[in-house]
Amino acid sequence: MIEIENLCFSYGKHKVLTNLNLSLSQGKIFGLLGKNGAGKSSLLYQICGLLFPKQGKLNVNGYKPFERNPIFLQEIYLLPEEFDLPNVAIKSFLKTNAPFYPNFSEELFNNYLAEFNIPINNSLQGMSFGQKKKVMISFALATQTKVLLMDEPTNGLDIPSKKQFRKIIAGALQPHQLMIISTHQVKDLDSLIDHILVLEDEHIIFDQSVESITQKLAFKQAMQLNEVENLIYSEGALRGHAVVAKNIHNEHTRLDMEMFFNALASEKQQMVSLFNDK
Amino acid sequence: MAISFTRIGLLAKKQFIDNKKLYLFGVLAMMGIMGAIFSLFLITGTNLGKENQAVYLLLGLVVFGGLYTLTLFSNLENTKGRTLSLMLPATATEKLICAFVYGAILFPLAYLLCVYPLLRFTIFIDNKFMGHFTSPYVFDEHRAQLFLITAFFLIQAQILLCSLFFKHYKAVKSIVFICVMFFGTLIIYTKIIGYILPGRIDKTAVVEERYYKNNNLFKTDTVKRHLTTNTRIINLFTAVKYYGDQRDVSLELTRKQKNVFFLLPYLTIPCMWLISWVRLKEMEVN
Repeated sequence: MIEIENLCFSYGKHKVLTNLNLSLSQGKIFGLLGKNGAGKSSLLYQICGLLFPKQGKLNVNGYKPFERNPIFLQEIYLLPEEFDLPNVAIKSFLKTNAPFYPNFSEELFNNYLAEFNIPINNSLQGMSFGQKKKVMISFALATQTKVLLMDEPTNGLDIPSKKQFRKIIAGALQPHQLMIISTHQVKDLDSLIDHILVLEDEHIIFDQSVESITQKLAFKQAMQLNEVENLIYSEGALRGHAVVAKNIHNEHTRLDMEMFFNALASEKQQMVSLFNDK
Repeated sequence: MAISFTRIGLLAKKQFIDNKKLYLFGVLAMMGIMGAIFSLFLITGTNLGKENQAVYLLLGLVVFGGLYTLTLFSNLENTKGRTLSLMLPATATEKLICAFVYGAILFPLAYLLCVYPLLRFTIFIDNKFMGHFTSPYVFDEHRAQLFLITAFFLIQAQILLCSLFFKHYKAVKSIVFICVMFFGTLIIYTKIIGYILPGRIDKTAVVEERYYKNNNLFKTDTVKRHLTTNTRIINLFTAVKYYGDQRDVSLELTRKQKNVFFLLPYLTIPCMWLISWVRLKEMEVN
């Protein structure tokens, strides 16, 4: 669905992406993680055709995004981190934007809005940024486009809304769809994504499914660090330590996104080589 | 270049619904300002002659049309607002056609529908209560009126271009740009025409007569002379060349040359729309 070969991108002399290779298939939610300024948004903007790559090949749904074919644009939706909305009622917004997307479902939109506790009769003008974001998340999901890109979707959402967001996203993906959620707030993607991509130093340094991660890593709590075999990373917790260790006993543990990301940041070499070893 | 009229229709609908309030207040403001201008004639008792009507009506079209054009791509002003607009499934051509429909067709129509009745009402009052006998202005093909109407399209194309190139202080920068274009064209035209006109007379043969001391004609020669002269440009197309011996020759461009100089600014209208299209395409992937 998305094929990227040797993609290079820079802002002037500042390199952002170098020789990036990626192949993403439908039916999955991808978490694009990375520190601030790692190039996550730049990658998303190239996938949807808002930035022109300096070099390399990029193919999305069989189209070159930068050619900006309207048929291609009908099947891709980008929810940007920040946006300005017109001062109109939600219904008017729907009336003017939904017809551009042939698979848009008004029923789904209403359901998502209800889930977020946003009345359909509200006007966008009087809404807070968080509420507007909920409207936009609902709209993005209701477009039912083949590719759905979300750039820091949880920014501006309060804690209950983040929970609602996770619940909605978990049930929204259809088999023909692909979703990429870019964020630096990794905890927000807990129990939500199928595949993790980590962008750092102009490259994708980590590209693994959640299943593969939990096969190779165990996320546990330990009172003493010397109790843990093959320890990779640890953090002081309220009761003892939160640890990431090699999963040598095939334990079934739940992926802790924050611990995983911190382990990758501090023990990059060890983590990367663990997953590269066949 | 695929153009879908359905998408253009959707863009036009979106443009109207998103800016409904702005348009409503804009129309009210426009009618208020034009009404105030027309009523000044009534208050001062000045006759609102046909020429005045034409000038104020068409100047209003140019000024309000320019302001309106500035808002056509206001959704692309900042990065925050730009992304959603650029992601709409429509081509740059379709977006530009939509802007053209609004700026060059619907706005002038709306302007006339709002302001012309106001003008007729003012004339009615002027005739009924002020004792004037003013007939209402009806567009004719007078050169000055044609000039103002074409100036509207020219200025509009320039403002549209500015609105896509400048991020901040668009109105001020657009006015500066239009002034630079106008005076720049005037200076370049003056130079070119000033060069063309004396060049033509210099090639003209001057008849030189030579006389004996008793004033009898000795011989007549036809020679080409480069006289030290001053040339004063009367207007863009006419100049007077003064010779040292108090003679002067009036020079004028040929009709063909005049037409070329007249047409050149209007040829820039499609060029500006084309540059706007290129800029819009550039904004989409940058």
